[in-house]
Amino acid sequence: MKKYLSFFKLRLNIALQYRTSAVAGMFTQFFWAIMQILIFQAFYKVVTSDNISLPQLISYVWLKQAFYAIISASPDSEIKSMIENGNISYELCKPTNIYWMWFFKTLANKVSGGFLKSIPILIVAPFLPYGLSLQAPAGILEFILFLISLAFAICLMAAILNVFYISIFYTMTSKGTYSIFYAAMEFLGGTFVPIALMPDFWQSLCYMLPFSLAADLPFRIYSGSIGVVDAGIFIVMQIVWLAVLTIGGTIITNRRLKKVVIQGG
Amino acid sequence: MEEDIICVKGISKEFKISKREAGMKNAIKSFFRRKYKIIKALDNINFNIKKGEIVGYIGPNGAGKSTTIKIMCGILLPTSGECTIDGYIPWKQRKEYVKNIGVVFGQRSGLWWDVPPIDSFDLLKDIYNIPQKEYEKKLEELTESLDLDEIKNIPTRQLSLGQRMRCEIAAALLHNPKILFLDEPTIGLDAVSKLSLRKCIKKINEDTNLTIILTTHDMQDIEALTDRIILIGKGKILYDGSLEKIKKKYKDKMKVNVKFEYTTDKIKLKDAKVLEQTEESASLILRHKDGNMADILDELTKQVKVTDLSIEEMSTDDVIAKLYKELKI
Amino acid sequence: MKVYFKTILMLIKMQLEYRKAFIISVIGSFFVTFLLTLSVYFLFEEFNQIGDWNFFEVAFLFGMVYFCFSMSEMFFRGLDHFANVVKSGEFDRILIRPQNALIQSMCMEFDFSKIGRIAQSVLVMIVAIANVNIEWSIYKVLVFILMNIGCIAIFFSIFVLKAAFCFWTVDGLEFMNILSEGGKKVAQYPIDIYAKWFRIFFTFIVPFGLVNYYPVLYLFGKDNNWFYGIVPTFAFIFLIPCLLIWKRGIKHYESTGS
Repeated sequence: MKKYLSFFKLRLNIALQYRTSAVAGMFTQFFWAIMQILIFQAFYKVVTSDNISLPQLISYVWLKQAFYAIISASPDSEIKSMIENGNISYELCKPTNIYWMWFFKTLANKVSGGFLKSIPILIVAPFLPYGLSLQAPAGILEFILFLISLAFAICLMAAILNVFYISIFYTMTSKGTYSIFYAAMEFLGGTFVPIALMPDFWQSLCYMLPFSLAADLPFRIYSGSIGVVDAGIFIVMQIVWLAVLTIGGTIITNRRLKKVVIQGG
Repeated sequence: MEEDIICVKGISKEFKISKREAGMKNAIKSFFRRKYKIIKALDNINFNIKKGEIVGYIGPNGAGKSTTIKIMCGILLPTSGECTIDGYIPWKQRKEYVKNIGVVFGQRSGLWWDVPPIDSFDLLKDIYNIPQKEYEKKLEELTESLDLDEIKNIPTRQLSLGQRMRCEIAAALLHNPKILFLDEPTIGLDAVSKLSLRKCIKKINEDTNLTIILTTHDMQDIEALTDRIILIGKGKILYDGSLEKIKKKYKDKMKVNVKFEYTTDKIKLKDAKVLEQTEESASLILRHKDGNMADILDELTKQVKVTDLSIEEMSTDDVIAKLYKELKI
Repeated sequence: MKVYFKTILMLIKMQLEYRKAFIISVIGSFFVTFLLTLSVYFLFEEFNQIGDWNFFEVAFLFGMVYFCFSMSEMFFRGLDHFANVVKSGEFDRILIRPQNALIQSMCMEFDFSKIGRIAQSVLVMIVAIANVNIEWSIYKVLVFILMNIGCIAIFFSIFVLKAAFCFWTVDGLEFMNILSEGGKKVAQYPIDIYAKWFRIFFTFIVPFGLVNYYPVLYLFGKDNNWFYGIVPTFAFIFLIPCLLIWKRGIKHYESTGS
């Protein structure tokens, strides 16, 4: 536990050094959220969505912005460059399971970096004037479910990114193709348009895929735009996806590693 | 005597850098309030360089070499002092002035990476507004002296470092500058490329009377190209003069390695120090001023039966290392 | 100027050397913009309108802003990525060449693959124009051209500003994205939907409103005040402070060298 605490302290220390960058990052977060809220307010003036009410949507926007760094599909830069420049072969020599090493490294970096970024919004957003502010969770039960689904969401995102690492490890092409996948993941994760506002067909499609379960679901649960029962079902789906991706991922990496050993790299 | 083309008078440069102390408390403190301290990168620098001269500008890392070069190139303003180069004050009339200089940074490329050097040259022609005729003439001249014929049509990224460096020099000389700044031109080159590059530089200097300022860590560059060195340390000029003189001053001793037939007797010499001795060999340090070599060897042969003997002179690198140590830089 | 185009031509040549990577990037940039368009479409499926603007009217704004942004990104990318130029010390080289530093910085990079994004946004614009009832006249055509140029000028100014800040600090550039990326997002919708303070900022300080909202009112016949047609001209005023800051930035660079 002490190890993690000092790791976190180091991150905080680094973040504090880049003062301008920290302030700028904060500004940007607030700007994006407020701008989106203003646009949605304009839409809701004429028609209201059946799926999600305006206050619910506003809470959704704030939370998504707050936790964006954690649940966005941006890969761990260290691992990515390691695979691209071939230094990964040194990692393969170490007696650790590379799949879980990637998994926890991504998780640790995302959580420690992203958690810092979420603090300003979580402190300020609830106290903004009505109509802009982050609302309290829909209920205690919803809040608990939100925390659970957020935890699974973070793991799920790490698992999704692991699939990405494996695929560039296999194909060795990432630069151009990744931007396409990244955009698709963001879209299916509800970053361009909240999934609640998509047409029905797309909604059901998105909720079958893991991207929205990682990047959209927790915030809908918090805002109460998904019922408690449905929330439970979706959390089960999160777990199923997490299992599928991690088990599949470990099998594939192990097979690949065997090949590396047999062929001698 | 040629006239001075570069006059640097009393140049000083100060930088403000933010200070940071260790610890979480200080990190948070400095988040809100930064402390700065002033460091003197250059302190009253003076030197003159004559037209056609090659000068080696040396000093350890962080001594102020690149700061000086930047000031002379006109891209950095000094805090105080004067500098006239070929009648220009570099930082005042920069756009006009830079037509007179060429710069090669050993670690950064001035060529466009994915196209052959010839395309880069062609673009530089337009950047420097070189008339077509002059360009062609100069290109031909450089192709010959730098031996570019076979390499100028190959994409830069496929060239070896040595080949690329020759192209870099050509790129810096296309507009026919009067002064060339070479910043570590031989860094990372293999021995053969280094030799040929030095030859090329020497030749261009002799043929065109180009003034060259060379910064390097490679003393062989200096030995091959120039006799004059300017040594800078901690922002001050510590020496300006010939390399020979320094060498003479510090090359005052040599190491002698002797092998001899088995003996347990300790060697004792009046004029030399025994560094170490085993039963079959020894190494001695011999000072020039202490005595005559022949006498010492004579004495040595009386004590042991010498089977082999070799003399190690100090290399220029050793000399410079010693100089740095003595000057505490 | 000749130097600029010649450099760009060379950079295009360089990119075409890597054909496969280039094609993927073009497809990628087309695809990303397509998803964004789809997102706007989804919102109108759900809500039908925003204020009294329908999908095609907003699509026109969207297409136009993306077109101008992609053009700027393509031609002025060197400025957008200027932090790298300063960090790597490449700016020293720019200074030792007898050409305008801004123009040289502009052509440090050129991303030809943005052509995919341009194609997508032009497509959106065409579809939008075909579906919005515009009574075209020569004046309106001129207005259309003027607003595009004005919008590119604003993005150019923002890029210059962003680059200029690199002379002081290379961290905190995210802040400048509020102006470029944020401006792009803001200008996708008619700015009368935003709160007043927001509107004022994006009309009088970073004048996106001047290059799309007002001229479009006139173009679509929502307001027949012809003056709205020449309003984009004022957007060029924004260039002045940005260029001044750039000049100051170079002065600062000369005295610190970093």
